[in-house]
Amino acid sequence: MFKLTSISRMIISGVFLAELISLLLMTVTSVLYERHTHFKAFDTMVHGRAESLLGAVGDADDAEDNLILDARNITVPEGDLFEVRDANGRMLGRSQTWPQEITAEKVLSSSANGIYHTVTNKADYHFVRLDVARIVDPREHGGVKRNITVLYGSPTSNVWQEIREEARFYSVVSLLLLIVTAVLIAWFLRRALSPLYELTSEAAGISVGKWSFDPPNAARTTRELAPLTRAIEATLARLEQSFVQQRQFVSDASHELKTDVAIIKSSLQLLAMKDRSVQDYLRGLGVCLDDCDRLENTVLKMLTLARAEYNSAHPIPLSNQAQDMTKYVEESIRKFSSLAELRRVSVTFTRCESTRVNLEGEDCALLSSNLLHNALQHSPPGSTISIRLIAAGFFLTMSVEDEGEGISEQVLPHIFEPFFRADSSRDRKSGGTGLGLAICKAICDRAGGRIVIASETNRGTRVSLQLPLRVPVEA
Amino acid sequence: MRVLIVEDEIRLAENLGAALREGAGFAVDHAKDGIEGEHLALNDHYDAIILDLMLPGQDGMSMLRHIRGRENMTPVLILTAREGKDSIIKLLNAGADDYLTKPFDLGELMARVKVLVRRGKGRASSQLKIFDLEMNTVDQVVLRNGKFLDLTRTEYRILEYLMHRPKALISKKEMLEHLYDYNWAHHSNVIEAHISNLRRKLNEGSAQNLIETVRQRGYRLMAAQEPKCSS
Repeated sequence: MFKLTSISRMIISGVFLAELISLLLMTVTSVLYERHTHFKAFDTMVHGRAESLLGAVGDADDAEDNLILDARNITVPEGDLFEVRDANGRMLGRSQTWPQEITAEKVLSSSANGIYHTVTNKADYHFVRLDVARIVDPREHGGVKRNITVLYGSPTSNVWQEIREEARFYSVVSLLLLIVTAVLIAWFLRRALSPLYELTSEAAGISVGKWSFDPPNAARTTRELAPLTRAIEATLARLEQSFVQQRQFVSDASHELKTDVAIIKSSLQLLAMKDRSVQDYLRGLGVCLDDCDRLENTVLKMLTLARAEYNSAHPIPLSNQAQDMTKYVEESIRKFSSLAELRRVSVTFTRCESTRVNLEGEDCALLSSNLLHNALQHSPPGSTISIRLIAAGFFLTMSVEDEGEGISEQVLPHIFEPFFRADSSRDRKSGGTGLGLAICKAICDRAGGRIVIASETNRGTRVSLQLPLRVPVEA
Repeated sequence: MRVLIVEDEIRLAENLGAALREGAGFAVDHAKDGIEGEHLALNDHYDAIILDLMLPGQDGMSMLRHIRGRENMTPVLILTAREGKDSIIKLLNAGADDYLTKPFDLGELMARVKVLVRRGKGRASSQLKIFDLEMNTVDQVVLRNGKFLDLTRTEYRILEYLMHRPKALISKKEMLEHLYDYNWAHHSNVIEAHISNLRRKLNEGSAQNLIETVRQRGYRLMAAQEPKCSS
């Protein structure tokens, strides 16, 4: 059992896969981009919050003009961390949960682009360090310039939350797009393939009884289907032709056989119709036997033709033994000598040097006896039949020429058709089955030769065979 | 009765002809091809035609169409080697009366030809009866008043032809045409001699003369006198 593959399924899954990859890539890149912009904004915000802390730094009003972080002015969002120190490292203030391990030096040394990214207090944080000069009491002699270091950190969990939501949004939209396009593709594909389905159903309607093939117009005008449509049409035409020929042969053959059987049957029934004398019975039986011989002859010739045609369709290597055509021609002349004498027809035979051909002996005998017998049947008394063997190039031409009544032009094209008889009643009576020339043609076709017939009414007929000569192989 | 066989198969035609002559006592003519067959059929001498389909010259179908086109009413039995309802329907529609496929039974063929002949003459049964004269066309037996009549072949054929068409005036020419084939030498006094013998045999033991001679015109089987005779 083989697995069925589906072109449309393949197309759909291909498109689906490409779509999936592109949507996935797009989602990932857009999420990455969003993350980048979100963190940029976040870092700016962290900076801003750090700067806003500066507003809470004030003069401590003591002798050293120390600074103080006024806790009342500080509003930091929950989870944010800060630490403010002056230049001497004295801490001005920090959030309660400030982790000890985060120091100004560490933030400075580990920062990338001014941001120190670390995990502390079990959360992900971005820290910034601000080093600013603060002018304290600008009213008294220009004030005192103090350096302050602010460390500020904010957890990134909110940013991640937003990014996650965006990613989810993109995924859902992509999925929806995917589903909608898949449905669209399936529908569109079905529409696009409809000429193929129509072609299939039309082709499925072909049977032995119904040869008509009328491909849908869409199949003819579709670039991909047009060659297939033409191929089907051409194949069908060839098939139908050979089928018609076969059917014609079977029908003709059955007609022949039925006629022969009808003759035998009627002969016997006629004999049995009333009481007769022994002599009458014996004569009747003789007639019946003659009728049987005719049937036998028809069957034998049909089998010969079937064999010759089968062999021409299934070429088998010809025998290595070349046959001398001269031998067979002389044999047939001997075989028909009494018939020729009876009809007062003389047969002449001229030959050339090499007459060895690439044929089976049986076929050689059939060719020469069939052609000579035909010629004898159409020869008037006192005429001559000439048989010639001429070697030319790779072929041996054998021609059999009679001086008979000839064959009319209307009949000539049909002369090689099985069971064809130019004059059925006369040929029948002389034992013709209408198969002789068909057999000769099949033998010639098989041997790679050819057979042509030329005729002139009231002047005579010449049948010429071209058979491949046996080229002597030098040892 | 006279039958035309149109058949290119000489042996088959010979057998058919022999059977119809021997078995049914018909006169038989034979045509070898469709052209000759059409020519003979149009002479209107035949009581039935046996027509083969595959013929040289023109096929049986065309011949049938041509003779029907010329208003020829002779019953036609087709002989065909082809099977298939289509061709049979076509044939019957073209004017054939019956058909047989080869190889056929000679007895059946003769029975069918006889049916066609008597149907063509307006008779349905193989038993013909004109008051006390009875004829069985199957066994070729004739009875007058229940008594068997010993008739020669020709006498029987003449009487059969007359009995198929009682009351009708049948000319000597028509009788010759329908009782003899072309191989026969036509002598009208042959008919007269046979009629005279036939009349003698029919009238033996009965006062009623059945065959009336109409001078210069022909013969008539007198069925019109039935009431007078039976009294």
